[in-house]
Amino acid sequence: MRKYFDPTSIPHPLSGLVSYVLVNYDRCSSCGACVPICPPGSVTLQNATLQIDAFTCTGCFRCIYICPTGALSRIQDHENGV
Amino acid sequence: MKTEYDVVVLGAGPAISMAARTAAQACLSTLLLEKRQEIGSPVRCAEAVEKETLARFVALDPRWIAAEIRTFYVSNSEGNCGVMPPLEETLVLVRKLFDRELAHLAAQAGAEVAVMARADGFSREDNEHLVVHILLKGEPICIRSLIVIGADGTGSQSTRWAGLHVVPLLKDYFVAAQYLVSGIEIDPHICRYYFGWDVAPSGYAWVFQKGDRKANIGLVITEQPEERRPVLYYLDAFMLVHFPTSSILVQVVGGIPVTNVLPHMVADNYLAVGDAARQSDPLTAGGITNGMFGGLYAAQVAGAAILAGDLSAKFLKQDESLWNAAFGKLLHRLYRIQYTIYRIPDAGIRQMIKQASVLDAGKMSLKDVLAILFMVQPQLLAEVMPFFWNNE
Ligand SMILES: Cc1cc2nc3c(=O)[nH]c(=O)nc-3n(C[C@H](O)[C@H](O)[C@H](O)COP(=O)(O)OP(=O)(O)OC[C@H]3O[C@@H](n4cnc5c(N)ncnc54)[C@H](O)[C@@H]3O)c2cc1C
Ligand code: SF4
Ligand code: SF4
Repeated sequence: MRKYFDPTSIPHPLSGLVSYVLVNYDRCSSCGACVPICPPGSVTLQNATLQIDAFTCTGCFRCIYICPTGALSRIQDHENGV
Repeated sequence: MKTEYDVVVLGAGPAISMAARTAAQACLSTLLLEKRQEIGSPVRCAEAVEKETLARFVALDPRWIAAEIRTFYVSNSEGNCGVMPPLEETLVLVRKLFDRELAHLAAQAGAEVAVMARADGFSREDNEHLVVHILLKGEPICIRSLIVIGADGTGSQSTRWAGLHVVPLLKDYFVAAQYLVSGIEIDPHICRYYFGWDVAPSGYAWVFQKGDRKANIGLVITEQPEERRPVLYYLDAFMLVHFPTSSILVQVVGGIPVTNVLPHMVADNYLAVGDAARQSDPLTAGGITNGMFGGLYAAQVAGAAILAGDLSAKFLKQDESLWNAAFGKLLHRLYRIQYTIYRIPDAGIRQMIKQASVLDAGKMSLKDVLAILFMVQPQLLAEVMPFFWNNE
């Protein structure tokens, strides 16, 4: 199920709200490994905080595959209670 | 800080500090920008480096050398262990101090250094200069530069701004995790590698002594046929088996692209070096000295371009030629070896290390290692032979 970023929504305090990918900032160590691997360039590190552009993310999940800490997960899995 | 420089270099890693130093030595006005508040920290590295190669760039200083490695132990998950002398003597650095020393040398040579200075993009006002947009302690400023050298590491944005970024394939992307641990009792001159799919699927684990009962313990993995877990999971499992009582002082994670460098490393007024240009060794993922060579070549070509008044990509391509002449063939071959080695099935790895473990420890030569390798993976023969002839 595709979910678009709604600028008026308030993100979960521990996670970034994005279209396909959820960031757990408690696990993320801002290593930047997910930055070059993202095909549309949706991932950026701004002041050591990971940002995923919900408008350009295509949901390929390459970032989840490579993340060394397991900080990224599919929103879909959270919705399905995985 | 001025508003115009000959050379602006992005990122104070080993690659760029080398470039800044070379440029400043050539009397080019040089500005080195680092986005972090502290050069060299946090460390994203296992800190192992070839001694002789490093000595070509800097005078070795005990202040930033933690240990000297004289022997490698290579183990499999069954407890067999082969003992090998290293091809080249290896040092374990204190990267934080080392990076800072390199920046200091650049500053001494005349380069200006700024921390908390993040490059945010490029633009053009005229044909001659590239304008670098910078956030300096949060304040936006613009600096005009004839040449920009980007060594902003794996997550490089500058290669994207210059239109050079190519998304790496998953098979060409290592991910690593490492702990700096204390309370380790091992020989200070021995470094250990562990292979096996239950330890590090299509990768390996390492234990690099840092002296004072401390060690870097890390693990790197590449793409795998089946679903894999985050690399930190494998490292935690490894720690539980081998070092259950040690204390973790620092956690380091990161990605290392091991593609055969970027297809293009230069654009008009711009050169990429180090991890940004993917100059790491594709076999070991080591990038310190490769990056320093990259920085050296880039600064030399930048100097020549400024002197010749030609800052076009066409002229700067000399940098690619220098790199290819020195490293092109070698890295391409290492890349192919890497690809085969990390995909040897688990049974093959176990067999190889078992055979190595029965050889006389101190006397194992490269020839023995290769003989074992061929038995298990004959297709490596063609790739490894040229090294064999060069080294023996
Ligand atoms: C876990 C791990 C273990 C490793 N182990 C080894 C090893 O044992 N031996 C070895 O040789 N190599 C090792 N490497 C690889 C090695 O660390 C890198 O190849 C090396 O640091 C590359 O140097 P660099 O100068 O290209 O980039 P980096 O050292 O990554 O430096 C880039 C710098 O640019 C700065 N920067 C980024 N963006 C900007 C911006 N927009 N503006 C300003 N500054 C910016 C960053 O803050 C950083 O300081 C390892 C890597 C990892 C992840
Ligand atoms: S790869 Fe994982 S830990 Fe590294 S910056 Fe991305 S989300 Fe954070
Ligand atoms: S899911 Fe794919 S497109 Fe979206 S942020 Fe991750 S890597 Fe980029």
